[in-house]
Amino acid sequence: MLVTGLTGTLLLTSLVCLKFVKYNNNIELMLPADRQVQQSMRFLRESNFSDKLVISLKLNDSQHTTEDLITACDQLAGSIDTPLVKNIINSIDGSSFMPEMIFFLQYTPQLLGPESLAKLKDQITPAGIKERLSFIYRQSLSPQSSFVMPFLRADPLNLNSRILNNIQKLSKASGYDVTINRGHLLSKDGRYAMIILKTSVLLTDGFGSRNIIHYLQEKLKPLPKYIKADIIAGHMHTVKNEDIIKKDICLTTIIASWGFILLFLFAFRDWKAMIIFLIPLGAVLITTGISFLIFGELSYFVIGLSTVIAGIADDYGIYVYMAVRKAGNSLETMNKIRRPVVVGALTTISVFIVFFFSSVKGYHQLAFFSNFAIIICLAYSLFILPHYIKQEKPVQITAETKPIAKFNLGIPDKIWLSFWIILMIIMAGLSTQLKFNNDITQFDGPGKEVAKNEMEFRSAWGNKDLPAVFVIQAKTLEDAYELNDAVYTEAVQAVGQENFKSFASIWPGFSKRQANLKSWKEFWTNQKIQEFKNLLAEYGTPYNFSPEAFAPFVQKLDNPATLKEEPEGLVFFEQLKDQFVFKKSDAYQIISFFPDQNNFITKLSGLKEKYPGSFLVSRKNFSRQVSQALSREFLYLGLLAVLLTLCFTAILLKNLRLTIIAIIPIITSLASIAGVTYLAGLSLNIPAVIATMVVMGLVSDYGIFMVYYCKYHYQTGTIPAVTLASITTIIGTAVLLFAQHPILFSIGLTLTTGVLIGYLCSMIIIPVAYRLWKDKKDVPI
Amino acid sequence: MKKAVLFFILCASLSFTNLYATEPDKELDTILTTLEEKMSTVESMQTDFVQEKNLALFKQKLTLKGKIFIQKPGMLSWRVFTPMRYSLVITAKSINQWDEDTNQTQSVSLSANPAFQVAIQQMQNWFSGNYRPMQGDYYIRIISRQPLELEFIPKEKSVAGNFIQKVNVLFQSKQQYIKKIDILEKTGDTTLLEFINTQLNQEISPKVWKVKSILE
Repeated sequence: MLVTGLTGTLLLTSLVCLKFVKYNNNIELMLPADRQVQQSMRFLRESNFSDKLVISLKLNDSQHTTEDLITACDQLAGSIDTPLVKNIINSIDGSSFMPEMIFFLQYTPQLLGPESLAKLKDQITPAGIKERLSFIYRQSLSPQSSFVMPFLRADPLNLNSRILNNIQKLSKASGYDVTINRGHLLSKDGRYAMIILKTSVLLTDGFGSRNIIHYLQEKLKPLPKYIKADIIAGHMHTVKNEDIIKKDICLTTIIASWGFILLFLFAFRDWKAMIIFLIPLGAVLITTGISFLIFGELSYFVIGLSTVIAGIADDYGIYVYMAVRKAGNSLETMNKIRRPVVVGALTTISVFIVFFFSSVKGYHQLAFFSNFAIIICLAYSLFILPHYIKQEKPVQITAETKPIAKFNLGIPDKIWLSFWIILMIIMAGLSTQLKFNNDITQFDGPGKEVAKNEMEFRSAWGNKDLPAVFVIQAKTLEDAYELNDAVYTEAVQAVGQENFKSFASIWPGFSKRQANLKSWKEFWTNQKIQEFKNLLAEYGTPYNFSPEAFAPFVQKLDNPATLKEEPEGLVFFEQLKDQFVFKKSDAYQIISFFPDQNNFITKLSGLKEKYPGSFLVSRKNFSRQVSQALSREFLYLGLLAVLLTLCFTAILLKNLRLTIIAIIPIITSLASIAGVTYLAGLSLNIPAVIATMVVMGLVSDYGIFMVYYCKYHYQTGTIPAVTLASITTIIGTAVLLFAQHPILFSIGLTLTTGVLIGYLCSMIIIPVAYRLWKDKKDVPI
Repeated sequence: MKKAVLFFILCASLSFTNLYATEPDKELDTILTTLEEKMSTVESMQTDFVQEKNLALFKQKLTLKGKIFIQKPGMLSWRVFTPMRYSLVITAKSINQWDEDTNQTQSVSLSANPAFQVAIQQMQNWFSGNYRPMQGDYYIRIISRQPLELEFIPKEKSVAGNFIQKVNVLFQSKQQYIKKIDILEKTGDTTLLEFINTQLNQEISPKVWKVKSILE
């Protein structure tokens, strides 16, 4: 009575607490604590990519023009007024571009290296000057002369073409092909427009993400019908992932609950059997509350696996229930089943305990959650449950005299064994074809609509592949520019200038600019300036050039701009800097872009080692880092799990032969998982590896129970108990096959295959092996 | 009574003010619509031109003479005969320029030449007759109604504002094509472009679209 009261109170408290539990679908929880992985993740989280949302507007019909699109952009941008949005970039002031560019040319002496001065030397000759003046004259005949003349006057020797070219390249470094029309960000064909929003909402903030997405979706509603608007942002993934996982959890819980209820009602035909179902349900409820108190928040992935955990944790209740119904709740009965039940639980617990040794925080939650739920279930099953169940009809517990129930369909044991060996060879063969998928994006399952919108967005804006990023960091901005320049110089040598888009290409470090300025001053002696002026005058006369034609350039020759940390008041410079230079609380980071391809990653990885503090962030590299870190970890964790499982099995059975027979389901399940995954056209991933480890813990229980049963023949309902236990587990795992989220689906497939094969193997192959591998002490079966 | 009179005066003045503010807009809109309609009947145009440039670059005025060919949609051939042969041809596939001094044909990439891109866009805007969308970039004012002359002043944030102070466009009496364009640049340079012997919807020789071909 006291226990019931206490249990009820605990359950009620847990139920109330459930409202306050915070969930987290942050992918970081599922990543290893590897330095490189965490560094990349921190960069992505803190970089200014993560605080932006893009609204892509598309003209739906050919009746409407770019003008209508621009009007819609203005209408939408004007309607956004929320503290969640810090800044709206709908239009760009293009009016200052030209004067700014010309103003920037005053830094030419600091930006041109020795190679440019060598070329310049060749240009200041009669032939060189004549050629340039002829070119400028020809330009004056073209219809675009008004637009190029100011540049030609400020840079008659075309010294800055490389710098201007670099500025243009940098503006497209992120990979998107944006044109400016009436100051708006439009696609090349004028059918798409882009509005960029800067937000204070972090990507990892599920609640904030939902708020801002909902707010924007409301603002999109009044747009005219000929405009299709999509929100392209990481926040969209946060919200959609959360929605899908919530939906999956809800769906799988409903299906699993009905499955459990129907199974207990039809298989047990005893309303008290419902207690077996309520024990894991209550255990999951209590564990959720306690896990939240310990961890502060719970991963959705762990909660998503709760049905599986419930399916595992009810096994002990089933074993006890079947034994008590068959043989009563006497101490003798309990002694007969306590050992295999406890050892079975220990093997499962040992697999989950292994996850505590992982560096992935999410796995710590999984380990705690699973083990706590299993321990509660085990304790209730062994000590409380027997008091609520009555024996069907009193029997004497002795070893069964009749042969054990056979599932061999009358087929001789040797044929079954041959069949098993062939199956193992096929599965082992298929498993060699299995590929490991280390793509981190598989953890992200925002749904088809978001994926379709993003594909359309990338196709409209010319972005085929997102570039990778090389990050350098330093304490001061000056040091950061210096380091960035050093990296740029070497990176260009390693991968070529066209493949490395760096801010250093338009703004090198102080020391290089200082050296350049010194060389410039040394080059432009008074004599050289006079020689240049004379050449201009002489060869400009036939073209009728005025004496002041190139005054904007000549006047700066003996009065170059002074050295500064960076130019001031240039909008274009600030906009570019905003893309490349990030101010952190205690440091500056400067990024450079390069193609996200293995050969570039390999070449630049060497450079990263040379400059401490610098690192690469690329989708491919990140996946590789995660994969390497997890592979290292899982090799060790997997071995530990195998050892612990073998140890507990051997301790219980105290016999090498029986231990080997008991692990046959484990071996069969592992090979089958690999084979079936390959046949299903899927690849192995980390969640599937975790699920495989869980399978080991589960099917080892079946193996232990069946070997125990083969050896002792106790009338404690072992076969129906194992059958029901595996069915309930399969219900818990198979429901995940209905999940939309790719990770939950992958886990579901692995667990269902593993448990099903492990069960069939326990029922069929263990008795076969037991019979074929005879021992003198064995009771004939 | 006084209050009623005051109210009446206030209403009248407000409505008059409103009328005063919107009437020119309405008129401009009507004019731009009419221009659009009339110029939309023009599928092709060929004309001689004289361009006078007062540039700080030169001691004296630079005068260019040549021919322009326009074929909708989007084809333009700009031919200078004096003081030096120069041609620029824009077709759907390419932009090429040639000059007799170097006798070299140069292909132009718009993406690599933003200034060129702006120039081409502006040129196509002027000749297309589709001026209403240009109100996004320019303030448009009516200078005279017969013959029609419009003044275009770039708006503060427009790209054209980088280069241009204002543009005056004088139309032919039937308003089917432009007679004169007067450009005042930000630098103080001026360009006057006058069209002579304009022919509309006449067949244009295919060799016009070959940048190197010599036309007389």
